[in-house]
Amino acid sequence: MAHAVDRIPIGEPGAVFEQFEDLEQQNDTYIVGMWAFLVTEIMFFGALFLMYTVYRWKYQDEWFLVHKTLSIPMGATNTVILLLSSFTMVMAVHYAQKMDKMKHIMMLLATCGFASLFLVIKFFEYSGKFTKGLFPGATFQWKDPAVASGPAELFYSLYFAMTGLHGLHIVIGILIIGALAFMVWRDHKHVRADYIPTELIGLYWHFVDLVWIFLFPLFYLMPR
Amino acid sequence: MSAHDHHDHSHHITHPSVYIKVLLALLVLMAITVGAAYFPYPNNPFGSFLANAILLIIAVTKAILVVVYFMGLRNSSNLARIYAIGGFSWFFTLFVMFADYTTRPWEPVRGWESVAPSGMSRFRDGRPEEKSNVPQSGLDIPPTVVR
Repeated sequence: MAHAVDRIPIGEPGAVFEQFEDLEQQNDTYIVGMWAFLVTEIMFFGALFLMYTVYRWKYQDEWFLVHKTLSIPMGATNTVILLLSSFTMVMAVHYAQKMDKMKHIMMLLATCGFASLFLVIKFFEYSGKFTKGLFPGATFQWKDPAVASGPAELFYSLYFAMTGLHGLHIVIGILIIGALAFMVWRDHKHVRADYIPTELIGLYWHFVDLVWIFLFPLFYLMPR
Repeated sequence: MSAHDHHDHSHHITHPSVYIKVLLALLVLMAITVGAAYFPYPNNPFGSFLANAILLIIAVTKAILVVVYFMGLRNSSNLARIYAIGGFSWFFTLFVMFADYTTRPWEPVRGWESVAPSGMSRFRDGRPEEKSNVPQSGLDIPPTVVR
């Protein structure tokens, strides 16, 4: 994919395209564009958070009892992993700015590694819920007589919808960060001479972290 | 901020020590929020309010740290800030409008029962409890406190 003409000598500054005044304006334009996308993501997840609020308001006591079936240690471990991955991502941007190729790649791969670890823990969490029959649908089983099956199933519907959508974002993140690391390794000029692609993918990754910062307390630590 | 070890006209390079401090702050906040979940809050509306408020204040603080430092909002252009602040304001407004829904029991209207929280059902109209096996919480909020 990277032809010789696409490669540039290390250290050469990023090109300014003709519609921009200077590099600063060009960079700002990219970042504003990424934020515009992130705003649509906020709206996307916002609707789900509102739905969560509606049903938690309606089933305060039931959901408090149901949420105890989630594992706080697993959720907490995943939170720490995502915070660490956000840190390695921001360090990847730092080394992209300094054009330090090896550290840039190492930090991107570390981010991918943390993200994969997150998915492994999520896999064990999900499979535990599947074995206990807690996946919503025809096979849903709720054994605790203190809570009606309906609200419990609603809780797990939203749990799987919201953490599942978040997990999908993690998978997409691994793919794009992996692709970015590959392009850096191949000295592709757009990602070597210019730190902006790393910065934009970083913005996406921090947003994924941001969603989890709210999902973790609202599902795993839910107070009465 | 003395964090810039050098900067040129195109972008700021933040010193990694800033990111390490932010990461440590995030991990400490995360430990506090897990610890707070095990704290024995009083089993009444105030305890419930306190538990939820502490949880959300910590989450919002973590979010602000991530947005300002990791997402670099403190160094970005005003236009990018408008987008970011606009997005989160929209999110906040969504829940402000939702206050209508949550305060309905204070001004009872016929038909609202279908959306009433179950924990409050025992307060309504002196009718017998429909779902009697539902455990009652300590949320003893009278239905018509505000007039």
